[in-house]
Order: sequence, then C-alpha cells, then structure tokens
Amino acid sequence: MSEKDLLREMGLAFFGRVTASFSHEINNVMTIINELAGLMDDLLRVADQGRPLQLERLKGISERIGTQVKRGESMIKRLNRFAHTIDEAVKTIDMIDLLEDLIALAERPLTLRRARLETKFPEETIFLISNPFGLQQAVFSCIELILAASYDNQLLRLILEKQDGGARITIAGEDPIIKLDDINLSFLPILMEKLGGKIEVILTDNGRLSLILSLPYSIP
Amino acid sequence: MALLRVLLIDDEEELVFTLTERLMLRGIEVEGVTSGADAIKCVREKNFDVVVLDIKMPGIGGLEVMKRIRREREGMRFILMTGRGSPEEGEEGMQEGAFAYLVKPINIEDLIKKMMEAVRV
Repeated sequence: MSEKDLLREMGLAFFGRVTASFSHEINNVMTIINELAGLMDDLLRVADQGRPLQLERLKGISERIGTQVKRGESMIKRLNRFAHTIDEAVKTIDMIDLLEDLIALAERPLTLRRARLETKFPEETIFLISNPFGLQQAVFSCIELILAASYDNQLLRLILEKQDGGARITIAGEDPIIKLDDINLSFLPILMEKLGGKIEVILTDNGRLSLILSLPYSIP
Repeated sequence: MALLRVLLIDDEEELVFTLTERLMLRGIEVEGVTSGADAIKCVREKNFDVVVLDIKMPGIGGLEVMKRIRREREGMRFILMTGRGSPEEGEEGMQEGAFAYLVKPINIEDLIKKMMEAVRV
C-alpha cells in the first residue's frame, strides 16, 4: 500500500472511530432524556389515578432534561466542528482551541479505560498554519497508543509548548506501560512527515512512555 | 412483596437513577449501581431475580460482569442494554448466555416484559 493510500485509510478509520464514539455518547443522552420524559409521563399517569402531583418533582425532572439537552448540544457542536476540520487542507490553527476540541473527542476512550488527562497550555495560544484534521489525528493517535499500552487508570499529560517558531506537543503517561518492547507507531511517522514535523518516542527506565510531536509554524 | 428484584448496572448515573425510579413506580424492587465492581459486590450481599446491565462500561465491561456474577449466582438471568450502533455486541452477549438484549433508548414496557419472561424461564 502506498503512503498516500495508508494515510487516507488511517484518516478514514480515525474519522469513523471518533464519529462512532460520539454518536454512542449522543445516544446515551437521548436514552436519558427518553427515561426522564417517561418518568414525567409516569407521574402524570399516577396523578390521574388520584395520587397528588408534586410540582416540585416535575420541575426537578424538567431541569434534569435541560441538563441533558445542554450536554447533547455541546457534543453535537464538537462533532460538527470535528467534521469541518476536513474542509480546508491547510489553514491557520489556534492550537489551544484545536487541542481542547480534541480532548472532548477523546473523553469516551479515556473514560472507558478510567484514564485521566491533564493539560498544560501556554498563557498565549500558538498559531500554526497546518492541516487541522491531520493534527487532531496525530495527537488522538498518540493518546490511543499510550492507552493501548497502559493498564487502566493511567494519568496522561498533554503539554503544548512553543518550539523554534512552531510547536511541541508532548503526550506522556505518568504510570509505567505494560508492553515495553511493543510500541507500534504505525503510520504516525508518515503522518508527521506530511505535516512537516516529526515524532519522538521516549521510554524511560521505569517504563514511562512519552510521545513528542514537533511541528513547524507552517506546513511545507 | 415486590414483583421482581432487579439489579441495574450502567455507568450513566442519571440513567440508573431515572430507570430505577420508573421501575419502582411499577412495584419492582431495584438496586442501581454505576460500575461492574459495585455490581459484583452487590450480588454477594443481596438476592436478585434478574440483572439488567449495559455492555460498554469503564473498568469491568458488561460481558465480563455477567461472567463474574454467574460464578457467584449460577442461574442468574441477564438482560443486556446496548447502543444503537452496536447490536453485534448484544448478539455476542446472547452467545455468552444473556437472556435478551435491548437497544437503547429502551422502551420500559419491553424491558419489563423481558424481565418477566426471564424469571418465568
């Protein structure tokens, strides 16, 4: 398979994983709203049978529905922004904005592994002229890679720093990984090359894994 | 006396809370928990007629929870809940010995019907 085909295939796979994960989350929200609406119906039904209707309880349920609607709305906005990252191959990117969106996209894979992600961003954001979809794919894949090599409850750190006019993103696991000899970077070096950058892997003696993405200010 | 004793497991706390309220309004005794580990602890302490559980959960997943509970309570009946996009997981659960699976969002009357059938078997 050519590098171009590999990148296209991995890009589609990434797009599929993110949308599948988000649609699952949105379905969970719909399920809760369905149950809350059902609970309201139940209370109205028992009121019809003579049990006093507690307005405060109905108000509380209505507020709980509102909370879920806001949760769903936020997910749909994130998903929509993610879908639009493929609109332009190269554009000016606010890196903090991009990484915050990415963290929201990674929430479910992190939750399923009971992992936490802590971030450290510079006070002022960094702007890069790059490919937004490719950047998200690179960082997301690094998170997935560390999760795949870790026990549950891993603490991940995501650090964004300025570097030589460009940016450096470090994704590091705080706890030792399981598979010390089996770090498969897959397509990431090829993707990073297309973005004009590179990936470094640092595995400390005590088994902590860091993946460092170095990115130029502008894509070649 | 309660119509049924149900253990409900889902990592979405609001779903557990609401579904528990709705089932209790129908005379069903429900213990709701949000993790597989809590569920396993729960079956050691109490008796249930049927376990209703989500397949995809953080930590111990639904199918593994089902296997571990079965080790504690051999004849226990399980009803799985799965997302709309992943019915194949429900089918896998059936092969692992679940009584039924329902796709979320579920219909409460369907759930009760399945629970009653599970207890009658």
